[in-house]
Amino acid sequence: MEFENEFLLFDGGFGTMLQQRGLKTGEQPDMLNLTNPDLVRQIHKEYVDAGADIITANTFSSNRHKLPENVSVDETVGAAIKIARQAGAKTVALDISQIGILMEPVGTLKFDAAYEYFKETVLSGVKHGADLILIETMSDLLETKAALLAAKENSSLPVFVSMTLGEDGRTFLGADAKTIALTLSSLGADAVGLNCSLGPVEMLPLVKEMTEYSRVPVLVQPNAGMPVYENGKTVYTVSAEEFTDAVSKMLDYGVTIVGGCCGTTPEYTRALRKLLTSRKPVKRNQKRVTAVTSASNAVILENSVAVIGERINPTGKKKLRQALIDGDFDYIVNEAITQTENGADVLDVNVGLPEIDETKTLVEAVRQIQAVTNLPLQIDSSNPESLEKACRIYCGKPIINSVNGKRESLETVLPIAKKYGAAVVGLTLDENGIPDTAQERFAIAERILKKALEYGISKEDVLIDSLVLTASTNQKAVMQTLETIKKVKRKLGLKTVLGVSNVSFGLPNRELVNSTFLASAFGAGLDMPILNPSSQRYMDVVNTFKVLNAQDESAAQYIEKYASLEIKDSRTDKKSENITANNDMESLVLSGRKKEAAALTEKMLETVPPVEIIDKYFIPSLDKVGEKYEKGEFFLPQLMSSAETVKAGFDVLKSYLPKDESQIKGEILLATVKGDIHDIGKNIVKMLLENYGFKVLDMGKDVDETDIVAAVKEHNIKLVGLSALMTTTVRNMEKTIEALRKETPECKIMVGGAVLNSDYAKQVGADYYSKDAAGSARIAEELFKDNR
Amino acid sequence: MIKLIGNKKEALRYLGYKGQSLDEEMENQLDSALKEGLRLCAPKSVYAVFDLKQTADGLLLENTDLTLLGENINNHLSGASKCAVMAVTIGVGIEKAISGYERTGFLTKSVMLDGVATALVEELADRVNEEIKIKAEKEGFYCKTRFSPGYGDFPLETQRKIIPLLDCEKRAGIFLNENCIMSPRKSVTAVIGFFKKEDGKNGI
Repeated sequence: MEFENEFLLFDGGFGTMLQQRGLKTGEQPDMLNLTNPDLVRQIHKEYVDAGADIITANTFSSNRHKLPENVSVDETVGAAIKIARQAGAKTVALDISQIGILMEPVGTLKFDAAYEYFKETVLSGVKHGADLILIETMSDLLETKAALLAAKENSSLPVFVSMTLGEDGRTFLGADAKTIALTLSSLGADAVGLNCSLGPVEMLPLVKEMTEYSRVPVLVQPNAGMPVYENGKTVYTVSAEEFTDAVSKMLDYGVTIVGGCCGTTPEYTRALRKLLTSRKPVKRNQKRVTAVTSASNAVILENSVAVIGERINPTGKKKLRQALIDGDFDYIVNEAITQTENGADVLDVNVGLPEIDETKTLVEAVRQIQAVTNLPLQIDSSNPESLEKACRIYCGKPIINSVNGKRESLETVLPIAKKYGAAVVGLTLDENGIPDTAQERFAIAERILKKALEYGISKEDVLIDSLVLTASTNQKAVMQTLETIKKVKRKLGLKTVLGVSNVSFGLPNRELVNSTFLASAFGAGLDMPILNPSSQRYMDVVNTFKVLNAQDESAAQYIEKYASLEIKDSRTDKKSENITANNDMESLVLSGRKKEAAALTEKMLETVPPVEIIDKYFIPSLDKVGEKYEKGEFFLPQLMSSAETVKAGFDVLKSYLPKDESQIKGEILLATVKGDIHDIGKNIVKMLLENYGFKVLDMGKDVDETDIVAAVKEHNIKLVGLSALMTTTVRNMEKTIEALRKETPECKIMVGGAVLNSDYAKQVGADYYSKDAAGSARIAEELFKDNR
Repeated sequence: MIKLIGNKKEALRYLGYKGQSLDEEMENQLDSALKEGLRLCAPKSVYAVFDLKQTADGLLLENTDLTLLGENINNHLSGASKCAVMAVTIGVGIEKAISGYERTGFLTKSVMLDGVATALVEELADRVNEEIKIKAEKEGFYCKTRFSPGYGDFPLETQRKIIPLLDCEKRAGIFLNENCIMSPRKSVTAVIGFFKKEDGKNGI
């Protein structure tokens, strides 16, 4: 099939036609394939007669989640394709849309589960002879990726992918047109586009962006305007004429595949057919750009530089190393957020340590980081399996760091980059190591590019890292690095990446050396430095260069950041001076003064043993806070603020405590039960318990009972805290308790959550009910009182 | 698109505030949570009005497969000739921020933003409710207060019918999980009865 040199016309709204024929609102149209095939056929036939090239089979909701239990996906899909053929369709598209469960991190559906749902529908579509696969009305980029991969890996059919944007130009989950176009067209879709939700006029500017940034043909299927609700019915107000007028403009942008969505009827299809007959496809004004995307944003290198944050890499970082070994992802997430706040544009994620399962850890790190930052990620590993698995679940178009000139590397890494539509960093080294001269390094870059092109990777997706050696040992090599950047940019036209921190190794005042080097590397044409965005000195260079290369328009951001810098500085100074030892711990905790509490703890450590600080200062203060909360003198944020203050003190103590001191008091497992996503209460309990010196194993939300039982056994847990907010999930709480009773009868269980009370807690079989966080601390104190 | 204003008093109420004295720091934190909430929220709403028909099981929304079950809702709508069904959400952005703060130890911020988010989604529900009321007025009806699945004996499982009824996945990005919990968390669905004015009653 040809998608860009000639037009393709899809049919129009299906639900609209059903509504006109008396389908009850809320009823599932896919069931009609079995209960009323004549009606479905009749609608398809009207579209065939109106001139549609492609008939969309009635399979929008044909997935295991949406269909009733007694109806198989294969039944509805098989019937739907057959009916479309009977209606005279030349080409039948298997229609796929959202599963109907929101994916993690906001919802509960996991990537692999989503993939399996889509796979089942795709396999049925293939079996029953669909000609192409249309994935449409999608709002989650990651779910769309799962669908696209399922379609490509389980069929050889062309796959068109289309998402739906709101008035704000974003999907419900936040992706904009550029992000969608760049991500999905790199990922192997045969066409990408927009449908539903907006009318054709509202869609115009978004469609224009799609045509500029997509690397594949663009399809558009708008609604007949924005929906209006009248008497229980949805009404659309844009006429066929207005509709085709707008579509005509889209053809000017280079759209080649069109059709209608909600509210359109065969009348619109006829009008579109007439329009297409009078027109010739226009070449898209495609911008060939190097870009990387996250779930919601695209970082596009168009005469601009972008900073890759280097902090998530255990090399030379003791704390991160330990966090990775302990599986402490909070630490990693924290690094991600800090770098985001400090102005990084992309985050490098490297978890390579010999002590851990790199693939598992990298996947988990990517999963958790993408839940909290909008920045695109650079997935950094020398293990192809880890790269593959992490790219797969990544929501967006990542950068792979890295491939190099070695044959084995090229042959294992490039196919992964191609398959997942990633940009890839090529290191200028090969079997013979890092060459001394720019000429030799350039030759490797050239080889990497050639090989990448052979694998079908776009030139824009190849980035070169010319590698920098330390100036203290290889002083003459530094300029060779810069020379390589110049050559790569000039002769190959590729974008460049460079880790700048190495250059200063072994020299005093490293930041100074690094920032000077950074400035000269920018001068040589460096596009993406890999550095620590928390270093003000580096960011000063970046921020000023952005003025000089005209990226920071009118120097607006520069002025905003630097014009008021002095005032800011004096303010923070004042605050830190305020710390006095006169303030006793209790008043600091009660008034929520974190920094002061940390400073006081530090000071107290000179004279008071750490355990005594906990017992004589922290805990009595917390008890006081709990008391005030109980009496209504404090409300929730005040309680939390005090708890955070104690935590700040605790963090200071941690390094002074003997290694397993924290475990002496007792370890408590906390989880929000299966199916429930309301975990704020549980999180508050966690912080308070930690403040009281307990070790908390936080399993998170939506936790399966079997996982809880396994963790209780593994860690020999004596107290489990479960939370559930809804009546529907209290059932799962009951199940979890049953399982715990059976498998680990000696373990005590406390429960909490909005719908619970002490009677209800007994009913579900819990040992204790706690109405708030302070209560759970009392339970734990009582239970573990003999431990000390 | 409805633009929300944000109500600090309401946010405080959801945080359990009962007139405790607030220091400047706490006030500032609240203000910035409110600002952030307004920046992150993406209000979406859908509603539709249906004729009601009495059946043996309860009130049926005509031309749909939704029958309202439970004594409470049937009493509440007793005598109504129509009802509006509404669904609103403020989206996932705010939710991501709430959990981001939680993950990085800023629990106070997280809790505050959660309170702000609850106030925002209720504000949105009020605004849509108001729109529905005006519509009802124009047609010669008055409305009683909105009633949501999960209140009293009005089953939470009604969500399974409401979400497809209003095409919420497509139109508002609201999804249900297997336990009838809505994602985004800060979403509200409700039913509002329309009563004929000549019944001699005024709106409540």
